[in-house]
Amino acid sequence: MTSERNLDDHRFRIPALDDRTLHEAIAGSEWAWVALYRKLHPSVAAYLRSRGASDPEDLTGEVFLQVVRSLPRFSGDAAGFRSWVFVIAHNKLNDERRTRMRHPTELVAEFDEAKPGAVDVENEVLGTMGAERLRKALGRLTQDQADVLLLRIFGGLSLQEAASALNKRLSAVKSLQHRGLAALRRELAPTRIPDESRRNYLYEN
Amino acid sequence: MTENPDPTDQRFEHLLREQMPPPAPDELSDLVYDLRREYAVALPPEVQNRQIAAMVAAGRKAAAGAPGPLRRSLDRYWYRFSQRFIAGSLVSKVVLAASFAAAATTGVAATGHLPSEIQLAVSRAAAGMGVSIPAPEPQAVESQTPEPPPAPKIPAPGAVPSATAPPAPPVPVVGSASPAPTPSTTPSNACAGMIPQASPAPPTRPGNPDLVAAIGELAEEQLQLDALLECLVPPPGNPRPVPAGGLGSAGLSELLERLLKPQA
Repeated sequence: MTSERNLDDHRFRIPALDDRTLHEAIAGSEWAWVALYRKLHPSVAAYLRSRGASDPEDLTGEVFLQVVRSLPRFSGDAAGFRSWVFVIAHNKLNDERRTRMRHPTELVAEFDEAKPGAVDVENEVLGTMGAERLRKALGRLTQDQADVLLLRIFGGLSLQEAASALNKRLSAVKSLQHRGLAALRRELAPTRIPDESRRNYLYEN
Repeated sequence: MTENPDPTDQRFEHLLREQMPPPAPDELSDLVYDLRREYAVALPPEVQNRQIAAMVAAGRKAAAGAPGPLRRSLDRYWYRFSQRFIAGSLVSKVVLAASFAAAATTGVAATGHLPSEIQLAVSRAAAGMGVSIPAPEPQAVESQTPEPPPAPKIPAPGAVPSATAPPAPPVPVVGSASPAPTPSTTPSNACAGMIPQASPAPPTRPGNPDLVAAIGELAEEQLQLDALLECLVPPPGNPRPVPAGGLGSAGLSELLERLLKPQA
């Protein structure tokens, strides 16, 4: 977690969709399908990973297959489309969980081979610690709190869109978000790793 | 009720909209940044290419079978109309149910599968409107008349009533006005149409019934002949009354002699 924070990093921003690309995709233009996939797939994969999908890559592919199949029936703007894609992702995730509960499989630990470029041991260790810390913090949330927070953080859904996607009332979603954020702050505050480079970057800008 | 959102929630909203000026990093912005940096990683290029190829193939297949824009709008219009109509009012539901019932009845009647009496009624009603619907055969109508209930069992004389039999009628008090109920051996009214009612039998004489009937007929003929004889051949000057029991064989012989003898 010592890498510099770059606010222009595409990972920090939610990629914007334009209505023209969306209309072309609905009309059946293949280039528009590819453009939508390239813009949205990191966020969808991030949501699935953070929610504990067993095979997020595969599930991401299934989500976009469903998106393209159902695209002729979609009507709305770009913001509505993003929300719609994440509703599909959420439903796919729930389907996968149900399947996993019916047919439990034995988990086998995977060990990544040493990457040739990974020479910064300190960064790797801190990164692993940060990832573990985040995973642990997310594990403290209830399912509903995690759904609300991660749909908003990765999908860029508004409160109203999240309420609609999760089939909950707006007030319930607000409450879930508030309690989820409080739980995350409690979990992360005592063990927060200082990151001077990030602070310096923000102060300078 | 005015909303007073928590500062954390407000800050979170600003962060998500990327409108937050960065005065200083805080735990919340660190959290969002770390989450996105950790999880929002693009898939490997080979995985992307494979998924794009599958997506394009699925999209082409869906586009080939997808309805056109006109069909889509018609479907949407029909869906909205049906939703409003069905969920609209009670009257619409009643009208819809009646329409379905009428359509179903007409369909079944046209194939002649209704119960015979209903089929006959529908057939007559449709004939009035100039529509030909098969009518049931008369035997079918008769065969479908409700069968009468079974006749009550007549207990055998001296039979002991079973445990499940209804209790015996109370024994009447001696000297009471109402007569004691006696088990009736006549068939019930329901059986009257099926069992031929015997005409009140004339007082019979003992013996062979055929012989008795033949004697009766002979006696009637004898009476008729006597009356005829009285009219045709009255005894001159000395009317002789005909005995009440008829002439008998001697009377008949006399009658024959008188008829055969030439008139003086």
